[in-house]
Amino acid sequence: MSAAASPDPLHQLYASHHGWLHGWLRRKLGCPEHAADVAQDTFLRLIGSRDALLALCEPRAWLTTTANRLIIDRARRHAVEQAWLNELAALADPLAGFASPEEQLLAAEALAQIAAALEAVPAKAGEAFLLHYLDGLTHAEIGERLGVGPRMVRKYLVQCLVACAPAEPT
Amino acid sequence: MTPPAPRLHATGQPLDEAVADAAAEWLTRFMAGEVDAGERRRWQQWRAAHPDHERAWQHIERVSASWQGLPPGLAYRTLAPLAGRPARPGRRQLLAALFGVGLASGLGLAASRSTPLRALHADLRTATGEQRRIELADGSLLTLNTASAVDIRFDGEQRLVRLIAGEIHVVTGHDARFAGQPFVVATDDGRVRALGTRFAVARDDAGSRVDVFAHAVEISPAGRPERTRIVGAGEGARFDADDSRASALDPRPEQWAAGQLHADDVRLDDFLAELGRYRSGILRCDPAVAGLRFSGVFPLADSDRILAMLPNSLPVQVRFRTRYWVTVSTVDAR
Repeated sequence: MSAAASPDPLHQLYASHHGWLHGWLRRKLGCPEHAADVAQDTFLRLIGSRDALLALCEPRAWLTTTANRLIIDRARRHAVEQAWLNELAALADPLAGFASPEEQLLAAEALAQIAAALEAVPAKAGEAFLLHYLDGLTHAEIGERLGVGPRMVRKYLVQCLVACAPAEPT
Repeated sequence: MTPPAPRLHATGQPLDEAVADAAAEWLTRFMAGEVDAGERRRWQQWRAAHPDHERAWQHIERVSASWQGLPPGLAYRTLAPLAGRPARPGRRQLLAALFGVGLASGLGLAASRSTPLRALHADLRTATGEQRRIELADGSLLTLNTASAVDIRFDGEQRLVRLIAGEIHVVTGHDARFAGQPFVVATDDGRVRALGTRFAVARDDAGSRVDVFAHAVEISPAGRPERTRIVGAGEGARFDADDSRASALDPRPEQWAAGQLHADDVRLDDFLAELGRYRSGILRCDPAVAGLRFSGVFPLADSDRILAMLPNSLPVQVRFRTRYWVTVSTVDAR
């Protein structure tokens, strides 16, 4: 069901719950501006969602769940971007690996997607994945490093690949 | 009502979880060099069995390729302290970061396998079939492909890597102590100055070539140094001592630097010619089978194994007269 097909319920939803959501977020986050941003994004997500109608059954549960997820997404993105910028700042050459701000943005985006995907897998699996795909270690080297057998290394890597796959924008 | 869990997608269409699992399993096996002859045939059958399978394979290949562009050291160091955390503590940590408390760091993950090379001067060489990756004093990552040799001179004025033979892949480092010292790869044909970051330089009988994967380099022919040419990301160039000319980007350096040999609907003779670079001795291809085509991703570490599995993918036989004399021919040839 597209949002366009049912503009009135959505409009009504916004009118009835936006103020409440904003208040809820302000208490949760302690920052009015950030709360306003997240509230806005939450409703944008609702408008873009195919499951918009589902939200109408229990709108506040949907809104808080979605808002929570957005907060985590933003925080993760911010953390990854900071970590990335810190690594870049540690380099002397401003040209660094990624020249243009756009390329840096893409890299930070890719890294944030990997970070998001790896949250869904056990720590060792995520470590195996990073060692293999971002550091070039072989399965045997990873097994040695993590103290697990080759079958487990393979299981870790498959698990992470599947977790990463839907993270790619389609 | 909670929002539905994110579904698996490839090229915009939902994808069955079991199919995505299978594609991930295949890629993982390929990367581990575990795919033997029969397995490889099953891989091809699996891809052909259903359009979703092929779609899932293409998707997983594309997703994994998107990580290849991330600079190895930087990307690893960025994510290592963050990744694989259970969601709950991760959430707290991320929120802390969001509000300026800062990241907990130093969860000591060991350094990469590249060996730091402290010496400012070293001669490095790889045998046929060997690859080596080292980290230079400035943090640059240098990968030598098969049968390659370099001299390294960091003299305080510049960071010079002299390519004597073969080919190298470079990800330039940016250690503060080397600020203002240009990173240069020199061959007998001229100099390639890094204006950034990720590129490969090869030297063969016909001259030198450079392929640029990120940012740009400047070529300066040895005999006519004023005839400089800037080669940008996604471009290649050939040069000799007199001049340089643009050429299409050769994607292979990014593949061999990752320890992989890619075949995408290639002719068998072309594939064997490429594989032969990683083997000592003679690798002959019977003209009767030269035009057969096939695809795959192979770990470069074991070329014997790649050869051993060919008969199960193609109607060919592989005869080892000795380890160093191999002929690929039609099945019944004697």
